[in-house]
Formats: sequence, C-alpha cells, structure tokens
Amino acid sequence: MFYTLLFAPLIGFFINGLRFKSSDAKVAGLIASSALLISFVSALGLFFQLQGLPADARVLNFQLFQWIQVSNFSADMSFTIDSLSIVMTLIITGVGFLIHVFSVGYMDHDERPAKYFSYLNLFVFNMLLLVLGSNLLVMFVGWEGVGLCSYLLIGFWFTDPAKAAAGMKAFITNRIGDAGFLLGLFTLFALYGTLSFSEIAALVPKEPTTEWLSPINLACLFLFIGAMGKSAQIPLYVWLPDAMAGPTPVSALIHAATMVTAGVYMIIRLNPLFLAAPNAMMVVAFVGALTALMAATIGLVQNDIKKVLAYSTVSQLGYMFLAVGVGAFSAALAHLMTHAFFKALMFLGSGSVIHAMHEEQDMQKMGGLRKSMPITHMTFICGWLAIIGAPFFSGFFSKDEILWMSFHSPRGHIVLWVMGAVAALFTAFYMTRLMALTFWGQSRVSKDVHPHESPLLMTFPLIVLAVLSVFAGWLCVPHGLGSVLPGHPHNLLEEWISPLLATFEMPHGSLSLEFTLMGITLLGVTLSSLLAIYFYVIRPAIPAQNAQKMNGLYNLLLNKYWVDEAYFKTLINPLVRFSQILWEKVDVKFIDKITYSLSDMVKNAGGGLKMVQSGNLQVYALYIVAGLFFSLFYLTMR
Amino acid sequence: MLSNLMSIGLGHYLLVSAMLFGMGLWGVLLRKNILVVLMSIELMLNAVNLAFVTFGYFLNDANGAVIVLFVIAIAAAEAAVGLALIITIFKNYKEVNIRFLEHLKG
Amino acid sequence: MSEVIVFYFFAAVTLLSGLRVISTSNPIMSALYLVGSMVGISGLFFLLNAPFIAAVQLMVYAGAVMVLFLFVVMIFDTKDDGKKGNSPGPLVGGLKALSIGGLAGIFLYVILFKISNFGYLSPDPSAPQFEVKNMAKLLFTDYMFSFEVLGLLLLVIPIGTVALSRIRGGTHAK
Repeated sequence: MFYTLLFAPLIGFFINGLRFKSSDAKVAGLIASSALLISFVSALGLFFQLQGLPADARVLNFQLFQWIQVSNFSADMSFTIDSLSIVMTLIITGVGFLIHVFSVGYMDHDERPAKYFSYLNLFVFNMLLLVLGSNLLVMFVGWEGVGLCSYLLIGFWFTDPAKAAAGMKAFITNRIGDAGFLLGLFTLFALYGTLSFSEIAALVPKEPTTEWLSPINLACLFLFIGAMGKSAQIPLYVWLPDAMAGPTPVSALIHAATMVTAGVYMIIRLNPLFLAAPNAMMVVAFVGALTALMAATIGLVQNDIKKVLAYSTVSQLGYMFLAVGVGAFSAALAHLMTHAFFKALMFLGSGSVIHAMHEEQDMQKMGGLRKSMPITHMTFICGWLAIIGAPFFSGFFSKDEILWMSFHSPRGHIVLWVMGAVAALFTAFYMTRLMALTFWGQSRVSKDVHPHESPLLMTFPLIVLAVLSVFAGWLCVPHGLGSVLPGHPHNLLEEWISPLLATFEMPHGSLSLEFTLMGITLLGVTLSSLLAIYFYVIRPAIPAQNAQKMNGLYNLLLNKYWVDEAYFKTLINPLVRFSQILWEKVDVKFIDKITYSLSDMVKNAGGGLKMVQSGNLQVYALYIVAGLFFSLFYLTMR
Repeated sequence: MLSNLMSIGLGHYLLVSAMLFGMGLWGVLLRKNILVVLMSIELMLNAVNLAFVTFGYFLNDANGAVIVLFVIAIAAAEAAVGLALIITIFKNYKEVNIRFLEHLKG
Repeated sequence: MSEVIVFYFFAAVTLLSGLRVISTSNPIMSALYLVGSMVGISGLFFLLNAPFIAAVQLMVYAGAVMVLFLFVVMIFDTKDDGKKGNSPGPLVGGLKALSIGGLAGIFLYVILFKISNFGYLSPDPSAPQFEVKNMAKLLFTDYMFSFEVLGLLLLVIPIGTVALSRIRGGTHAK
C-alpha cells in the first residue's frame, strides 16, 4: 500500500508526460486525478493501519534501497509513516485530489493540459518524498523536487516573459534558502555523523544550549534559512506574490496547502533539535511574527485578488513559524491543516471567479458576484469565516491556540502576542475587504463580461473544502476551550502526534487569562471586519479618500515596502554587473583569447607550410637540386 | 697548366660531363616551355651517360657501359610517356607554358 | 696528339650545342641542337673506346627519341604571345641560379682538387672491355633480371602511351 501511495503520482507523471502535447484536458485530468485518488485511498489505508498500532509504536518503516554508504555514514532511501507524516500525507493527497479535479475544469481551454497535469503529479510525488523521508537527505531530494515543480508550474505559460521571470524568481529565491539548508545538513552531519531523524532525535542533548555559536544553534539557524526560502518568510518571501503568475490551482496546491508548509513540517519533524536551541527558536518566532504582521499590512491595499491571497498565505505561514518558534508544535500542525483547507478553498474560489470573469483579476472591476456565482460565494464565505477566526470555524481554534501559546509558552513573549494579534486584526480587515469588493456591494463588472457559476467539476471541490474549513477545527480544539465546551472535546490532533514531540514543559495557564486574550482578539477581529464592510460596502467612496489623505503610507504599502526594488538595487544589479564584467573581461578577452591563439597558431603554421606547395614544377625541381647540393656539400667537405 | 691541356685524362671528360649536367639543370629550372624542360632532362641523362662510360674506360670496367645501355633504354621510354602526357595536357589546357600549369597549388 | 684535337673538337660540339639547347627560344631549334649535342657525345664515346655504345646512342637516342621529340614539338603551335604566366619572382630565379652555381662549384671542386693527378690513369686502349661479347656476358648473367624487366618496360610503355593519348572512338570518332 505504501508503494501505491508513493508511486501512483509518479506513474501519472510519466503517462501524462509522454503525451504532453495532448490538448485534451479531460483525459489528462482523469489520469492525474485517478493517480491522486489511488494515493489518497492508500494514505487512508495506512492511516487505519497506524491506528491499529499502539500509541507509542505508531511507526511503519519502508526501505526502497540502500543509497549512500560511505565508511561510517549511511543514508538509505527509506521512508517512515508515523503519525506526523500520515497527517501531512492525508492533507497532500486529499487536498491535492480536489485540486486536480478542479483543474480539469479550470484548464479546459489550455493548450497543454497534459503537461500541466504531469507537472502536478510530479509535484505530489516530490512532496510525498519530502514528508515521508526518514532522513534529511531523502527530505532534501523532495525539497529540491518541489522547488523544481514550483518553477515549472509558475512559469507554465512561459511564453510570457513576466511569467517566466516569476518562475525564475521563485526558483532562485528557493535556491538561496536551499544553500542554508545544505549548510544545516553539513553542520548536523559534522555534529552527529547521521542525518536520519530518529538517530538525530536520540543524539540531541536534553539540556538546551544557550550559546549562539554552538553547532546545534547554527544547524537550526541554517535549516531555518532553508525554511525561509521554501515557506516564504522574511527576507525570502518575495517569490510568493510573483508566483501568482501561475495557474490558480497551482497557487492553491503549492503555495497554500503543501509546498510552502514544507518548512514548518521540517521544524516539527526536527523538534528535538530545535528545542535544544532556544536562541534559534526565538529567531524563528520573531521572524514568523514579523512576517505575519508585515505581509498582512501589504495585503491591506492590494487590488489583485490573488495577490491578497498570496500575502495572506505569507502572513499565515508566519503564524505557523511563530507557533513552532514558541514550542507549540501541535498548534502549528493544526494551523497548517486548517490553513490548507481554507486557503486552498479560497484560492480555488478565486480561480472560479477569475475563470468566470474571463481572466480578470483586479478586484476593482468585480463586485456583486454573489448574485451570479452563488456556490462560489457560499464556499468563499466559509473560507473567509475560517481565516478571520470566527468562533468555532476551523481557523478559530488553530489561530487562537497559536496566539495563546505565543503569550503563554516559556519561550513566548508578549511582544509576539501583540504582533500576532495585530496581524489577526489586519487579516480580518483585508479578507473582509476582499469579500466586499468581490462578492458584495454594487457590481463594477464591465459590460462585456457575463460572469456565471462554474461547472460542477470546479464547484464540487469548493464544497468539499468548505465543509472541511468549517468542521476540521474540531480535530484540534485547544485544551482551554475544550474544558468549557459541552462534551469536553479533546485536542485529537495533539494527542495523535504527541509521541513524536520531545518533552517540553508547558506550565498550566490560567483559563481566565486565556479567555481574556481570546476575547480581545475576537473583539478586534469583529470590529475590523465591520470596519471593512463599512468602508467597502456601505460607503465605498471612503477608501479612496483615505488613500489620498495618507498618500505616503498608502504608496508604501501598495508598493510592498519597495522590497523587490531594494533587492534589485543592492543585490541583483551589482551581481549581474559583476557577472557581465567577468564575462567580458575574463572570459572573452582572456580565456577565449588563449584558446583561439592556440588554434590560430596551428592554422597559421599550416598556412605557412602551404606555401611550400606552389604548384610550380620548377620550384619543386629547385628543392631537389638544393637538397642534392647540401648533401653533396656535406659529403665532400666532411 | 699546359700539360693539363695537352693530355686528356679522366678529369677532362668529367668536366665535360659536369658542364653538360649543369646546362641541363639550368634548362630544367629556368625555361618556360615544357618541351624544352624535357629536352634538358635528356641533356642531363646524356651527361650522366658520358660519366659512366668515362669511368668504365678508365677503370677497365665493362659495367659502366652496360648501365649506359639501360639508361638509354629507360630514357627513351620515359621520353615517350612524358611526351604523351604533354600532348594530353596540351589538349586540355591549350598551353605549353609551364608557368600556367600550377593547378596543384596549395 | 690527334686524340687531343678530336677530344677538344667533340667536347666543343657537345658543349656549344648544349648551350644553344637551353638558350634558344624556338623549341624546334632547341631539339635540333640537342641532336647535335648527342652526336658530340657519341663522338666522345668513340674516343672512349666504346663503339657499340656510341652506335646505340646515335641510333636510339639521336635517331628515335629525338625524332619523337621533333614530332611532338611540331604539333604545338609555340608562338610566344607574350603571356607572362605566374612567374615566381626574382628571388626564386636567383635561388635557382645560385643552386646550379653551387652544384657546379662542387663538381668543379671535386674534379679539380679531389681527383689526384687530375686522373691520369693508364687505361689499356686495346683492352676489350667494351666489346660486345663482354657486355653481352654481363648483360645475361649479372644483369639478367634488369634486362628482362627492361623488356617488360618496353612493352608497357607503348601501351601506356597509347592509352594516355588516344581519342575515344578511335579513328571513326566525330
């Protein structure tokens, strides 16, 4: 069953890859979706198999082959199904399957849908390698593979140079992160001589070290750099908004639900290592909180619907890193799961909207779509309520757990809570703004566009994801809430993965403090949602006036703090200039010159020798006579 | 000096032979007409024949003359073939000026 | 005494004719002077007590080969129409003269200084070394193989010559 799980997407990749020129979306989509369905069913099977095992031995190991064996070091191509990886696998294959089904409808007008589906399947295969690997090397193979597929899919319509550039930006930024990841691997290898998760967990010291330059700390920081690149944290987040150039289902799958969560998964997997390096965890928490806040501010003023969702993703990923940074690993996993559902839902919903609006993505040209796209509207509302943290929707449970942990954990801090809470307020504002501009209020749709509801192939996944967004939260009810709710629901997710978490003492917090903080956040969220409705539905003229009044601030946010421009000016342009100089001065003038001078020498020598053969018979006779003369001269004068 | 001129020895004949050879060489290297070149080659062959017979006479050896017999026969054969080739060249290029026949240049 | 005069006479004929061979512009005259040179050499052969070789020289060389030459020379219309052709230049011409001069110099050096006594050997003029019988003996014993090959060569040469210069279609060709 494991093999069908892992290899069904790979086979789908090959089948669709061989027929990549086909333009039949239905056949390609059928192949790809069936592959994912097989994977999902296998994952379910493995899940039930795991459930049957006792709680402290919920591990299934599979080894494909012995990969590297060099003196003391060995890394096998082996995989581990345990409680953590099965959660990730179910998310990947389940949400992936829904997105594949959606794509069949979305890509029906495209030229090369088979190529698209083959890339998608390859991506799922690599993502499975990443989460199922039992050592860091297999994870790294999958890590690189998803980076590659991300590049291929973002730049899917590569004939547009801007889209191709977006793909390159994603890949290069990823690579910078990967350099950090590799440094982390080297440090870990130098430290422990192994890269296997179980062995590292056994070798990590129980006492945390507070030395900044200790190898464990450095390893964690390097690995976090890799996570920064893959999961779009500051400063390597710049690729994610540009990645919206790819097809929307790609954004849903890769940049919301799966690939970008790889960094979070890595840290959860290596939680013993990180717990022993509190300084690194602090860095992680702060970077996460700062990212959550900054991305939320940028999302406030964006007009492209996908960009808003992209910045929202960056922001929510920041929450996940904040969670792992303060030691709340199960909260991070919970938020990962709920975010996968509601963000994929919203991306697919926006895909449905864009498809109906004939590829129009500017929200200022939308409005009032609730009438023409009811199903999309309803499902989007579910996602919206989930992300802003409306009570008892899925996002509420996971986000509030994170906020509480950032305040309450021994490695947390009130500043972190403040940043997280403010980001939550902003999240509520911009998501409500998105809903208002897109679905509510008056229609600003141009006359020649007639939006209509999307076909069943596209609305079916939306409905499923909406149900999950609403109800999935009940899997991860935090302790405090669970104790006061009727029926005392447990935090099932936390109980499921707790055997894999290293011991981390979390003192008992006071319930009243927890509910106070929760209440403050809820109040703030409600107020900011109402403010957004007021600005964008009731008095639509106000935002424009505000933008004019706070022109500087508005421009700063609209231009994303000019981070991309700064990168270009300080890093990229000098590097390009340097490469150009190297090319002109060193390569062309110096190295090429050496090789050409060698060949020119040979050519000229040949040319020189050519002169001997003049074609003139008498000159040839002269050569004979001259030779005769010299030999006779030598013989007689000896 | 005069005694040298009065009685004929090996050297005299060899001088004649050498001078003939030099003249033949001159013709081969410096004349434009290809037929004259061929004739100069014959001249050189004659000079060599003279040298052979001279040495045969003065060394009491008959081998010299036998070799001359062979040389004459072969020279005749070579002249025949050479002339046939020249006729073919003339038919193709309409030229007997050796300066125009540099087709194998380079 | 008479020998000396005859030698000088024939030597002069040979050398002067040879000179005229390479200096005349008319190739027919060139061929005729070559005949003269050959006659002179034949005379020298007589002086060297080799009458058979002298006769062969006259008959084969001067008689057959030069007639062949004259035939071919007369086929060509050798008027000097002033076309210069690719003259290799004075440098090469100078080199040619130089090399000939050098070669001649070596010959002179050898003849004048290396042959002791200028070669006043005492040959036996009545010795029968150049008699036909002696030569035939050598020809059919020591030089047997070369003799046979020479015969083969004399067979191949006319065949080759005809093959080189024939016209396709023979005498009935258009």
